[in-house]
Amino acid sequence: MQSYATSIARGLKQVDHESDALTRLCRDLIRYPTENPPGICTEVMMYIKDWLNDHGIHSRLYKKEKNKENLVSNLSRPTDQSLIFYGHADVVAAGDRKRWSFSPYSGKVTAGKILGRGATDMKGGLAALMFAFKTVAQLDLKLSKNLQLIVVPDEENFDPKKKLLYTMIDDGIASGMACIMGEPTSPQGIAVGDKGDLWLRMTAVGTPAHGSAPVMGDNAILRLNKSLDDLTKIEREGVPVPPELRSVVRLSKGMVRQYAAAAGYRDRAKLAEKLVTHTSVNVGTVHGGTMTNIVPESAQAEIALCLPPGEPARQALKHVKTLVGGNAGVKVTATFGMDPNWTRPNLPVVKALQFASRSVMNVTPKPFLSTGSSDAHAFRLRGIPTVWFGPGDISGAHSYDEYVRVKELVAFAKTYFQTAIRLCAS
Amino acid sequence: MDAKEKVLRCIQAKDGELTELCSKLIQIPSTTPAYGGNTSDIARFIKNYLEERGAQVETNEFDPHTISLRSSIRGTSSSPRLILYGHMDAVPVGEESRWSFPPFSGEVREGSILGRGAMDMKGGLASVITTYLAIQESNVQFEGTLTLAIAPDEEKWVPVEGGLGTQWWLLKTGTLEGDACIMAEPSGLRTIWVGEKGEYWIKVTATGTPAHATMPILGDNAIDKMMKALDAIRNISDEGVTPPQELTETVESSKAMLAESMAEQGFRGEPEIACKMLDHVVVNVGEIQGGTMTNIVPDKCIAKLTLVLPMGLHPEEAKTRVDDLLKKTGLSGVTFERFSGEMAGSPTFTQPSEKIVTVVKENAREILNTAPRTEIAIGPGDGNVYRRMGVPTINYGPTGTGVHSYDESVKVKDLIAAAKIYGGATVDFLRAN
Repeated sequence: MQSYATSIARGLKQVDHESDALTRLCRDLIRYPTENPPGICTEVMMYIKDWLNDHGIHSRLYKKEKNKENLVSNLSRPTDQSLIFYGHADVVAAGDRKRWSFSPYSGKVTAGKILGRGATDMKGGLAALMFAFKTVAQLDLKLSKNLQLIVVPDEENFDPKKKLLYTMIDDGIASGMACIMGEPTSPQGIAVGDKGDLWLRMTAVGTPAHGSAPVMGDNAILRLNKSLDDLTKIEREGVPVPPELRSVVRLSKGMVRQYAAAAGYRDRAKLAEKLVTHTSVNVGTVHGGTMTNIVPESAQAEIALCLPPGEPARQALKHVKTLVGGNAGVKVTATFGMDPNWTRPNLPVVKALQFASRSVMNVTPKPFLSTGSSDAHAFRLRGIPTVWFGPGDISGAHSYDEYVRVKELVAFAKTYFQTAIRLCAS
Repeated sequence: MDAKEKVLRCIQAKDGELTELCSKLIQIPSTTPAYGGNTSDIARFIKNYLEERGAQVETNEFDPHTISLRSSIRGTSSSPRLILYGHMDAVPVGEESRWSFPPFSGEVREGSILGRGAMDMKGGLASVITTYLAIQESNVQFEGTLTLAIAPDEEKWVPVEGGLGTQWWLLKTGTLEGDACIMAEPSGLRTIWVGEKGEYWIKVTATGTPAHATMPILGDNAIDKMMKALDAIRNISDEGVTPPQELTETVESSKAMLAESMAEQGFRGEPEIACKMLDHVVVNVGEIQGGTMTNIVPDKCIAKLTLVLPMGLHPEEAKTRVDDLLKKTGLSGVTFERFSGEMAGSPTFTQPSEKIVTVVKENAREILNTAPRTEIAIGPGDGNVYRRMGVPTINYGPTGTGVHSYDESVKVKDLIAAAKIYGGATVDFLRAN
């Protein structure tokens, strides 16, 4: 039996030595075009299962829906004291291929970067977690607590009702004292809170008329336009921050500002900061009308609101209704809602990650509130402290020309490894 | 009995038949081929109807769904040539649940005939068919040629060899010729439309930058941009357009009538709003499509608009105005282009002093006891095609309610009155005796 310090040193060295294998793993994961929707993950899950198996690690697949396998692997007997590594294998659509400067599913490695859809969100983080997981497994070390790996196929579809993860947590298949998600944060921060979501469908009904006499009708597109404009007023009103999160607000603002700057939007610093304490509105889709020369009788928009801690979904919906409820011919319904959720920033999982990160990357990541939402909701809902810490930053996620740096991937794999040893040994 | 009296009696005798014909035309669905419909059934019906009554009908099949009909009666000399025009296509029904009766019912109820196309323009079509047959049956002698032309694609022109629109092709190739044309479009019988507005259809594209909805500030929302762009473009309606001198009076008199006729059709707004349509651009934002997912900042949004151009405004000038309005917004990544550019064209008009205008006016006065006024139509149509091809053209026909909307209907009493006015005007124009 080796001492923990020796084991940690050996493990870290091993990850360094095997950085090519880690790069290949990430590349291979990217090559599965697991766009969600439809989020067909059978093949990538089989790949992950085989990969673990090749390293002598057993895993199991769970599914309630075709092509939506969830993978769970435990290094020892699972208990509620396990440490959970969480990753998701689905990615968002690549979108317009013309706007990529490389093929989104090639997994090409160039100039120290691995390129492709999902590199940041979050096949990079998944590869690093898997690599840390197998490195822990390969050490001849008796840990007092189990390390559990969970890979889900459906993070990007958002609707908890459709996700097996919630059931798996309820059934104790997924269980632990804390969960580390490899969602992209960069080494600078650890996300301890998610914004909530409120998805809306706004429908405008008008009265058709010939396009040469539009005053004879009511244009549904214009009605929709007006209501969308009214809705954006919600972005102007701040939401009071819950007391236990006050200490991280300033940092969070800095973090978001930094993301904006890194993405080339230095001039939007103020807008970026607002995202932490304000609801944001994204009009995601719109369609209306059937013929150009007819006054359209219906138009519809799908809208995503992101809700800061302090603004639960139900409250936000009420708010929306006061803004647009009185508009003629316009109806708003919630299609999805999820409350903002968070983990207290002073818990051991945060401290362990900070410690490991400092020793591996020489950076102490600061707890912050993310501007997004994630499967952290599932864990936090059941009282499992959960944080995101992963390679890449959110500004690259869901955008064109996504990539992750090999160096960062290796550093994160090492950080995860060291954190796991520290939390599972004691 | 003089020629006109003979013709008018013959038309009067066909009163019941005319109503029945209109009902029957409504009962045969004939959605414009460009909107996924088919006019072959109604074309076959009309051809049979005419042939059973002794007319010779020529057809031009542009595609299996798009068949135009022509029939001519030759007089004693080669001119003048008069065309009676109707179109047999109709716009789609739309959402059926919003009709209070079956859209193809053709039912006669409380003085109206109900159904899609009743007003636009199976009512008018039934009237010109009836007039045409009456001229034939009454055996009057006349100079020149009378032609009945029935179009299958007025609501949206289909592509034809060398261009767009069956009527364009027929006139371009000399298959159809005329020195004047009466189109039985639903102007209402108190109004002769001597001018039609122009059209300029544009496709506006807003390009943004995608991002995750959780960090919207890292993207540029193409839908947000589009909404601002549409607000800006719609301001084109604020600036007036000066009509050509010879139409000043017509435009002014159109205003009063338009406000009135729109009120009749259920318009509840200020009359000024209706009047504005005659010397301002009318914008319709007809279609919009943008984004792919709720939680992604959309990088593309496309909207399609029709700009209806009043007398005196040419498409190039409209383009400049849209350009200027968009520039003023300072929005980046918003472009527009002429979409379905073939539909675009300048407004056209026939001089109010043209013979075709005066004979219709005179005969309307005889039949209705009041002379209709000359006005500008609120929408463009095949009249623009005929005038561009050098045929002085008026639109004059039965009216009703619900054009291009729900619960469309046409007034029964307008049908026979219109047929008589066409009959009288034909006799006068062709100097029948």
